Amino acid sequence: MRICAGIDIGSVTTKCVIVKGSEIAGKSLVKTGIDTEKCARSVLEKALEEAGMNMSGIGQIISTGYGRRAFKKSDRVMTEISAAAAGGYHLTGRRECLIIDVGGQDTKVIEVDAAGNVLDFLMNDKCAAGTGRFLEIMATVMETDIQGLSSLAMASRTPVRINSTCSVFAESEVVSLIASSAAKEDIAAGLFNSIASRVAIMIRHFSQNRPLLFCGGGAKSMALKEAIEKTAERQITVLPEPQFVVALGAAIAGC
Amino acid sequence: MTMENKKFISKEYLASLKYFSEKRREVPADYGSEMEKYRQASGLESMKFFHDTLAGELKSPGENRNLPVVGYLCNPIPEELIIACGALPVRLCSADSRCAEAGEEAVPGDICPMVKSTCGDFYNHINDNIDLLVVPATCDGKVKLAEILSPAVKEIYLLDMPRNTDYMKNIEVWTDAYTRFYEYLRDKFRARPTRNDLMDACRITNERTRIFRKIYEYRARHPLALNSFDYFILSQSSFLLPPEEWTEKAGAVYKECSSRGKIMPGDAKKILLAGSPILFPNFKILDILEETGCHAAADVMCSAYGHLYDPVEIDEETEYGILRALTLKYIAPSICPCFVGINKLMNTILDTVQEYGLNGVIYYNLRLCQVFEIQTTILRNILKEKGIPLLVLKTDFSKEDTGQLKTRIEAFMEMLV
Repeated sequence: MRICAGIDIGSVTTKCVIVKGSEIAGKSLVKTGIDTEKCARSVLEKALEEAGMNMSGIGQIISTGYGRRAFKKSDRVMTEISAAAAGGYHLTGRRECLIIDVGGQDTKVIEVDAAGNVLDFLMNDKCAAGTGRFLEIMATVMETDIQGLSSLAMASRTPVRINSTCSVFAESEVVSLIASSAAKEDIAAGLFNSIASRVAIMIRHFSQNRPLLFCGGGAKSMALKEAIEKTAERQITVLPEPQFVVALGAAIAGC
Repeated sequence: MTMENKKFISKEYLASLKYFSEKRREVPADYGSEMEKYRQASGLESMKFFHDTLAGELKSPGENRNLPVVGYLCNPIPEELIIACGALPVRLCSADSRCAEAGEEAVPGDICPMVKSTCGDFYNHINDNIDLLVVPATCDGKVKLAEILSPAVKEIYLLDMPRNTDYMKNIEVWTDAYTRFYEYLRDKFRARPTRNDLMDACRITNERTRIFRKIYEYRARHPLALNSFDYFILSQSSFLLPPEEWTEKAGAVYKECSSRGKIMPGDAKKILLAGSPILFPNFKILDILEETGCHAAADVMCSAYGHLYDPVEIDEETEYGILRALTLKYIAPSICPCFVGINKLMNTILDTVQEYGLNGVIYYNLRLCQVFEIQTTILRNILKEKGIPLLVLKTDFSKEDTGQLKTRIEAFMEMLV
């Protein structure tokens, strides 16, 4: 049985998934540091340890993500878009789908047909608007973390309207909302809604018949999932272990 | 001749706008070093002339030609009328991040980078040889340049034209606009061109078009024979060179590249480039395409195809007939999004994709160049309906999004496989 390792070197975290046949044998996650190569090596070692394997057992290493070319040991590189498609397609039992991926620095929507081909994709612009990084910065302003921000948002009944998804402008918008003593729950909900409306516009560019899947670090936030569902008026399935879907897809592509 | 056509700001107000003349700056760019990269990537002996010429001419358009120089912006300015009056037409559209920065002293930052860069060129006294500047009523930025550049140039002419490219409706209005422009040029340069002079000018540009088409068509089938850099350098050189000279030297490029016989591997993908103009030295998109192994085999852009592809087709050899024919070369088939005429753009894209078996389209939006961006959704939906893959890129002259652009282009290439 062929064993492959997929390494997703993202802007915030680096993930590795080792796949044996079509099952996950091991996985790991580390923060992406300055030394990308070292990061990739350590995440691979950790995943191997979890799988109880060593390097010699690996048939192919496929790297993906922002730093995909930085890991010299990889046998093949692919973009995170193709990898997310492969991962989502695999997890959904090889059916057509529309994948939302909210990562650290990019938000993308990828259309996948019944044969697993990428038909089209959309990505946010170069700035951090509507990405995981945006949520991270806003959480800091609100003196919490993303999960904390998510819990706050879930408790809101009257979300405020936040127009900006630009981290710089949204920060000043949030600061002035805090100053005008808006409830922090409502501010948090407003932040998720502002991302959701961006994502919803992207979703509407595609065929409305394909089931919507959600992956990337952003998919760990229940508040974001619900905000997108509400704004796009669509049901969303959060993929299992959403942060690892891209690494899984890369590994699957090698098998 | 009215005063309005000489300057668009009255003398009284011009006195307050000394910013162009008071701060004389250094000519910023040594384009030679930037050109070096593309020189090395070329491998064509005959391209050397164009590498040198473009790098040199950009520093001082129209210098040492011993002809009056008419600078203009955008396509729809009929070069033939300028040539017939014994002047040299030079197109001054500019895309240099350093010039754009200089331009920010005359226009605000959040303006189209090309408008800023064109402005910056004047700021840097690059265009001091220009005897007359012709500004077309295309995008808002270009129209406003007629006023903004008033302190910087000797004389400005605004070529106004309706934005509806319905030719049945507007051909008379266009022909009138061209007739008035021709009269203006004749007065300005005290020229008495005959009908034959005008016919000759058309022959000259038609010869240029003939060679360009040969290159365009050969390249669309064999993109490896002439890389994108050389292709855009070649096209852009035609902005600044007398047409006969361009035609002669480009003929040599055609000969050399078509005899090189670089055949594409059967499974290689070819794409069409459309959208905002690509101009040297801002080859950012081309650099990334090259690095990702994506072959831009053809373009539908005003900086290459749109500038050279259409001939003058004269069916009535009167002066009026020729002026009419010129509007049918420049305005009716315009792919410029300033006009209401997206059908022409879509037809051209679809025909080109089909004719040369291209695998997809990359539509490039220069950030803040709104006229291109605004029609993106129309383009997206039509191409989707036709089953032609499309990648939309939005970026400016800066380099910080290179990684993200690469990811998009690579993913697009993976999608085409």
